[in-house]
Amino acid sequence: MSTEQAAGSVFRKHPGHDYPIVDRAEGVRLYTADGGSILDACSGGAMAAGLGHGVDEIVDAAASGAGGIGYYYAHHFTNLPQEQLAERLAGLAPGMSRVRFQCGGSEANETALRLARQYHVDRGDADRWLVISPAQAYHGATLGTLALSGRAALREPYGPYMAGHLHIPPCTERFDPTGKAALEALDEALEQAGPGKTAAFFCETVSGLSLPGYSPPDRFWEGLEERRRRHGFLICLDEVVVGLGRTGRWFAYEDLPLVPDIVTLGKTLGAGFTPLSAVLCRAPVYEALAGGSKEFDLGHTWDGAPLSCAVGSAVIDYIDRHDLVDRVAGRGPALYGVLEEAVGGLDMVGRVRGRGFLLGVEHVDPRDGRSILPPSVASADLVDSTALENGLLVRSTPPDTNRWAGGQTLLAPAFTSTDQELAEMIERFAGVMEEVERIVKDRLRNGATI
Amino acid sequence: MQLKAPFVAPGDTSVFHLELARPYRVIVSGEGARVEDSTGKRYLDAMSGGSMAASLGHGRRDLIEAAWEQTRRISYLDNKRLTNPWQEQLAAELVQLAPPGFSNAWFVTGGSEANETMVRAARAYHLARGERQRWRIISPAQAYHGPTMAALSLTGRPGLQGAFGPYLSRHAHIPPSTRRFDPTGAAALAALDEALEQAGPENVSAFFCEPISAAALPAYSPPDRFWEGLAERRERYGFLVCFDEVVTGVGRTGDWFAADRLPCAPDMIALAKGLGAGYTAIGAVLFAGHVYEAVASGAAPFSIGHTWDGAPLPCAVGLAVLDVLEKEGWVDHVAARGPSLREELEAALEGDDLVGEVRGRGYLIGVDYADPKDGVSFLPPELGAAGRIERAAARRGLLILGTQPTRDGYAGDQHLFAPPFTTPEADLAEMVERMAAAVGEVSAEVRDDLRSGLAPGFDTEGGAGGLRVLIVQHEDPTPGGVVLDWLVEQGAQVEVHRIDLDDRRPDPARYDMIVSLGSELAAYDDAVPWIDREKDLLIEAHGAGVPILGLCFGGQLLARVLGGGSFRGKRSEVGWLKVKSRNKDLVPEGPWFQWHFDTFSLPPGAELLADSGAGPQAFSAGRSLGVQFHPEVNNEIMDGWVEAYRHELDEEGVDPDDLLEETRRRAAASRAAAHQLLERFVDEIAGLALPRGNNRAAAAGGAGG
Repeated sequence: MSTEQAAGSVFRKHPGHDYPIVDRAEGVRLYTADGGSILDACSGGAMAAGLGHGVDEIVDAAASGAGGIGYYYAHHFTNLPQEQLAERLAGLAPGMSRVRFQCGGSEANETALRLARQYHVDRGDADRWLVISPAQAYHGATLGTLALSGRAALREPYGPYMAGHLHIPPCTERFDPTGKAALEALDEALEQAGPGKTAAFFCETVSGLSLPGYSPPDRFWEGLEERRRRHGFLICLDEVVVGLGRTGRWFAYEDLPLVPDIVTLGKTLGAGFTPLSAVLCRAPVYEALAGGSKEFDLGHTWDGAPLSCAVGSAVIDYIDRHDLVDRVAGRGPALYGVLEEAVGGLDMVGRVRGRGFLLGVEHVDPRDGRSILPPSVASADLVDSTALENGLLVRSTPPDTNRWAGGQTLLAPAFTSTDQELAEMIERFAGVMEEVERIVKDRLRNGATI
Repeated sequence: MQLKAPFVAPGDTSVFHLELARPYRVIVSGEGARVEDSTGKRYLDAMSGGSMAASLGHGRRDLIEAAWEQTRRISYLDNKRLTNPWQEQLAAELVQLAPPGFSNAWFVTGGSEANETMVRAARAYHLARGERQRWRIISPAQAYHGPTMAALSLTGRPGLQGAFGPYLSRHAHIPPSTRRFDPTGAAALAALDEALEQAGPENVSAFFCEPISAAALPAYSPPDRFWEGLAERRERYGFLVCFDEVVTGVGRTGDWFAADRLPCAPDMIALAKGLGAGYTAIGAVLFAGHVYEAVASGAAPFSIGHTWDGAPLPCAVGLAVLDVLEKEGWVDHVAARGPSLREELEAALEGDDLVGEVRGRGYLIGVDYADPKDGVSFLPPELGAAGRIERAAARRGLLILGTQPTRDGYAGDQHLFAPPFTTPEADLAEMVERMAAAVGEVSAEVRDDLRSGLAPGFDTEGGAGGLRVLIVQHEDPTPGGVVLDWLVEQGAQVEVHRIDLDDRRPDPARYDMIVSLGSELAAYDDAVPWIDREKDLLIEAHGAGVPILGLCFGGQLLARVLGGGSFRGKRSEVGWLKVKSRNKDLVPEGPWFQWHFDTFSLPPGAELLADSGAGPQAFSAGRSLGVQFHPEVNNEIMDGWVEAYRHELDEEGVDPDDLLEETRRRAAASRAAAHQLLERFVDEIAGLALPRGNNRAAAAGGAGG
């Protein structure tokens, strides 16, 4: 396989690794420059290409939908593709009335944070600024969104820039299966913030990379709703990964016993055909600004550009026309079953989670089948590298120093993957995990320390 | 969504727009430096896509094709563990173009992400070198680096940071060394020293700035003395110098990078806008070798990124953009043409004492306004001069971008003038001409405002001076008559605008009401030389919530611009005729005088108030009213019409003498009906309050005060 090594001019995210050069793709298959192929079990690696690669039907629809102009900034004009896509999303998302577009998830979550804050300020509640969010989360790489995560290893280098938000532990099976401890932690955080200081609770409806496929139990959501009513903060749900079908629903929050105030979308909205994200909000949030500061005018260059929005509409049309949300909802449980059967018995596999086409496999210490692996084993990196060597693209997260979760591997196939392709992904992945388990056991024997 | 109205109203959209109370015009097409909105109005784009991104103009087939072709082949791939040939090649080409010593490129999606990445990279650099205490950043106060929190904390503009203070890091800011405050740069250097002192130089991570400013201080760059002093302090204290070239990078200033001409080489450069040229969303951070080596050493984690970093689609389009720039020589063109373009703009604005300074670097040109009393002080912010000039320019079909005074007092009203590199000569000349006309027009108003000591105020309350009304008259024989007289009686300040003789474009936001009178011409005839100007005026007025009263032609044109139709009627109506009213209090049944061959259909959402066998006679839409008949007609007007348009009467078989006699007989009753219509319109539809004592309608309705 052709690989690009240190010599290039690209600043690589993992400068020590070899980088296969992919120059063509079709459906869920990536082809390297030297004729090799990689099966894409992660929608382009970051869960964006949810409809597979090179779908001419979408490209053609987007090309005609963009009309006579691809780009103009949102200050002077609006444009039809933006108006149409906003109308479409507001119609699809229960309870939502207004939509602001951006390019990516970080931008969307930053905008959501600013919107929540401006809502309170415009209502004369200017003391509300703090955000409470689960510690084991990821909302983006900008410093405003990084501060919403409580993952110590990610935050640590940039500590001096982090706003002092508060975090609660995840209510996973490992720590808090009922959600009771998380609710107590939430109460504690609200108290620590002080009355009238909390602006929002911010979380992923169903987690992506940080805890693939995890969502708190209903008891937590019910308790959260009750506290929202009592304390007056907003609920912001980050659906950058899960929104638009990934969990077998258009929006993952449709399964919750509450309606959020603000929702963010990303990845699947552009589906790998354009960088596109969005912030949606309920009418009262919009009304607070409409009756208050009357503007929310800090934008990014590409917010709501005709080209991106035309692609977004083509993507939604495609999902709709091919019943892909139903396909994911129908096929997801069986896919989970096959994955569980294929890797659940391995010594280094802990819990296997699945929501639609968002699947997660937890790495544990094979010596007891439960403990979080020592970071020095570098299981996440090992899984991704071994997978690539075996022609499979998956995505893993290392355990954080705060130890709320072990290493995790995420599988997030395109909604359009055929049954045969899905079976092939699982089969290859099982082989990868067996190989990794052997190496991990070796490493542990050879003295990797905790 | 079917677009009927000339703009998208705030209550009629699912988009969370930038300004929540403003109607937005809809852009539908673009070619080169020209764009067109949904009403067919054409603009010259002196803002390169509104944001300075579209530096190669609109509608370039080669770039559009490059994007779609790439999308079919492979558009998206995460770059965490895989790479692609386009990312590799674009990085190689950028490093080649970058200042000496630059070795690597990190791709992102936009300017905010690029600047955030530089903040993190600077921090990672110091961590890798074991200097954990370095985190603070020093940056000029009058700057803009993006709306994400880390980027926002790099400006010192409290007006921009707004409510988000609790999320912003407390960095140090220095004042700009502009002509106004510090022409030599000595004060800025002293401020830099003070900031270093205050932070403790060993705690400073980076100096962060735009080498040549964009929106915050168009085309401003500190004097050499400042740059030399900065380089010297970097040497002494060990912080990094980060250049935000999101706007200036990739040709805007006539060089590939603004850094190319400064006596202080940066350690990192952020790019965005011009790299994608409005054909893709892309940004990049370029690293000098020594910074790359430290950050990439892995000593401090630096692997988080964004979904689209280095993906095939944006990189392929970026390559196509560089290819066009190189093959067609646009960077050299901007370098060569920029200085004379600035001079031409300066010459066109010369003598206008509102213009303080015209700055320019390549195709990044800025106009800085000042108080005419001394040519230096800022204009009072409540005048809103930049915003008014921006609107006046748009009225004339020119897109520019104004920036408003900020509370910290480092900049006042300013404009950006930043056309696409590819703008043809004729369009550049037209842009300069329209810019000068817009500035001249607002400048005259501003001088009036300053003289009278009145802030213009865009309130629509009327106030002690009565309503401010603009009457649009289309030719000699169709004056305001009864309507004009009534308005004057009510104490209104009436301005009659002869749109056929005067090509100024009044700002409707300065009036409480607009009246569009009758005309011998047809409201559907786009060959009428002034019709586009009037359509614009009505669209803008309606959009700004300024009530419009349209009479006959004016009513038809109102219907048309709001999305209804205007066309030749099946039959004409000439003479004193009754209408069938659905609201007799508001529209008395007449007889009213009618003289029309054309008719109209109602715009979407309008309410039909009266009709006749020939078609609609009156409708309301929002705060506006259109009628088909002539409430303004009086004896003098009729005398004039009979003389001017006698041939039409002959064709219609109307006896002129009978008509004149009937008009005189009905004059009193007609005037009374017109007064009732006007009072009801002002009160119920326009929602305006007449000055106390005059407002019979309001008093009768018990709504006085």
